Amino acid sequence: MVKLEIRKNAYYDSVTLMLISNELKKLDGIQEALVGMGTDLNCEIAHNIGLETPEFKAVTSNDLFVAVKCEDEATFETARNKLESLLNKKSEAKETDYYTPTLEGAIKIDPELNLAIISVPGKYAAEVTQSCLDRDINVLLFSDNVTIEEERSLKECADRKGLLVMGPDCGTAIINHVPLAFANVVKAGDIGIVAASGTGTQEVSSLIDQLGGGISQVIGTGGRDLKKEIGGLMMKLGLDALVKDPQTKVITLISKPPAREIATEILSLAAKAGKPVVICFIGGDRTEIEAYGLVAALSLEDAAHKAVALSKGETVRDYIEFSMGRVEAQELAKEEAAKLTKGQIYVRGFYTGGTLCDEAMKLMLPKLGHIYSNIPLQPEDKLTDARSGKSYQHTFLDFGDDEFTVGRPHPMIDPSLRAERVITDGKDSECAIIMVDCVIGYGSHDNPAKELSDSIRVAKVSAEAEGRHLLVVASVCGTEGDPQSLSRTQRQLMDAGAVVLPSNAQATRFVELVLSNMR
Amino acid sequence: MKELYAFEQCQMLHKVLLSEQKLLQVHSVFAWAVNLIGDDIFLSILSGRHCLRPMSCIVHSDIPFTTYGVREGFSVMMSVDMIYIPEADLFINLTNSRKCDLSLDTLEGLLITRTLAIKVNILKELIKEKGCENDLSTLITGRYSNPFADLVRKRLPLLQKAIKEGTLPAIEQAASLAGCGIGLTPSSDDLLIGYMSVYLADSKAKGKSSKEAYQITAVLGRKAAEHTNTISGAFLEQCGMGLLFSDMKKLMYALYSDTEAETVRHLGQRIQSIGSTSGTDMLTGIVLAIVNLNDGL
Repeated sequence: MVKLEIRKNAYYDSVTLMLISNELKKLDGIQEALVGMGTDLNCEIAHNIGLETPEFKAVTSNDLFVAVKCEDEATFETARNKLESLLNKKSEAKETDYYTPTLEGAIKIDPELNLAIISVPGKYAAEVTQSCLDRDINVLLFSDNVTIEEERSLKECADRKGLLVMGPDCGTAIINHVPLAFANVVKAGDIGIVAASGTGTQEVSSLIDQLGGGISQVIGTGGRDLKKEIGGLMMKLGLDALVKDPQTKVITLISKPPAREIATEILSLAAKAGKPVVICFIGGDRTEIEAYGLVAALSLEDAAHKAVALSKGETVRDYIEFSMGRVEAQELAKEEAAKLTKGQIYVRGFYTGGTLCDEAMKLMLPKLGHIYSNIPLQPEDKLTDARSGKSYQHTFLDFGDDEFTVGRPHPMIDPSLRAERVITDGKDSECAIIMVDCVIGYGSHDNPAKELSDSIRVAKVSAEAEGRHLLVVASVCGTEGDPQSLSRTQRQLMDAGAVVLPSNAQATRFVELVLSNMR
Repeated sequence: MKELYAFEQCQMLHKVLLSEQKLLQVHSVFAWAVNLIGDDIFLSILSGRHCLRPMSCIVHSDIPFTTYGVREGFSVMMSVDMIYIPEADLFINLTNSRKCDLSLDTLEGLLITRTLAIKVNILKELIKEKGCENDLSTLITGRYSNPFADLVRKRLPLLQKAIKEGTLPAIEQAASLAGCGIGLTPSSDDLLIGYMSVYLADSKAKGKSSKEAYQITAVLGRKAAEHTNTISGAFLEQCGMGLLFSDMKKLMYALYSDTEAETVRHLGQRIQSIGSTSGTDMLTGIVLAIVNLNDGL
């Protein structure tokens, strides 16, 4: 049988064509093969050597054709696969360093593209985003420093067109199982997330993965989406998208508590989703959520547990336990507390993830009373000059906040400033416990645990030299599939003497146990 | 915006751009060459790995053009000073490029020397060394058999007839030789380029009417272009008008002057580095033409 493969207006250099010609002839079952541009003479030659087929009528001089005489369809398929691999090999070599420098260029290359990631200085971000929306392209807007008026205008435009504007300052999304920006390697599954929180999303999605669940989509909204000025436009649109997504069976919404009227609107919509919806308004009122028949989460970890339970058809329960067991945690806490001296009374929390810092403070505020911070829960607890100043009593810092990132990368990329602070506060005779997070996954530092472990060692040694025991409690946000590996990261921190808990929430619960056991 | 500097450009291209600005499209993109096409023009942007071609410029760049984001179908603005591809945000500055005359017509002092036969033998050696079973080298060496060479061998007399008679029907028949072979520029097209280049140089060396010779090659190039793909067709048309690759022009001078025979070897090798079999097919055309136009030499 004679089979013909035509590539319209395809130009490959002669070396490639010659290689294809030679390789195809070597294949078992190929009796004859001819590769060339579809000129009259080449077609005539094909005819002369027994490769005639009516399909040649469609070939023009500017087309590449591959004609083969073979025994059967299977052999032709083998030849086609070989052709594909040789052409793709060439194409990969061509594309290795390829990037599109302009939006117009990208669209010309792929007119079907429908999602753009924008990371440009803030003052240009709105204009570039608008250009994408004008071309019906969804946007993940990584850039910050976009004014709230601009955000409102962009999101209203997107809402009218049914497009997503994920951001500004959106660091995490997973669309059709492709992680974007800071995201973790998670299993595909039926749990969809819409979130106004970057590391909060990473924590929930990673824990879902660890608990055996999987993710359908993660749609980020940007941290200000549920503010009154924006009206939760993208949270609503994202929720609607997941309601319509057949792959999504359970929906999880993550955010700080929204403005009241926005919360009402979101909860009303969620109640009509027709699918189970877990709401994690970190530190929010569970009564209001449950009044809508929705599942309220007490923490990011609890949200993950409940989403997985719903996905598996299991009973939903509040998760406030320890993976190691409550008794074991109690004993360990008692043991650690016993090592602390009388003057050691304060907890310090140094976070690279803003939501993780916020969650830790919300969970511990009832116990600690006041937590001084650059992102305080109470205005009076605002720590001035957090970057260069000293910690005060119970101090929790978000190292990803603006005052720490001016002129330097985000701490998830460059964790050095946080590492220095661990050493500095380790020298404080009143400091009893230092809490840290360690966020791994795409976008994060290659080995964030390395510098953190080194600083923990130094801090502990210097405390011991002064007759004190310094307790460091850590949690790692990530999965085993992440490039840095969850277990390898945890091991490094444990080897440095940190007590490592499997979630941010468990870390706070453990510290509360230690505090309860202190003299 | 990325800016590249052209250090060499075809003088004819410069002249065309002096008279008017051009709006073009990217026709095809290769790692080291980008072809542009307009209503009445086909030209190339080349990296320094290539010798200068007719209607082309060579830029300083060690990075493949694909890396600059240039893709087929992109719009191109072109003036005497610059080439700008907005969708790739790529600007090519032509201002200080050296303008090279690639026209064979301006070659002075061409003559038939007694060393021509020696030089042809050198080219035959090169063809033998590098010829393979897929190209037309067998027309010289007789070493291989392939359907392309078989067909070209049959039609070669048509080419000889066209050159001899110079009539339109004969040229049209000869043009049907184009478009035969595996490569991007089919082997017979490369052979025709070699043949036409020699015909023009040989005519000039023998003091024959260059007008008559150009009339034949211009029609032959144009008609042959109709039988092949756009890229190869553009080279045939340019050659028909007497515009040659820079190395081909040098080789023509080396063949038809007192230049040392070893220079022919060097230039022949450079020609052979074009494409996969293109260079060897061009040399094959050169040898066939010299032999045919000089009584079997």
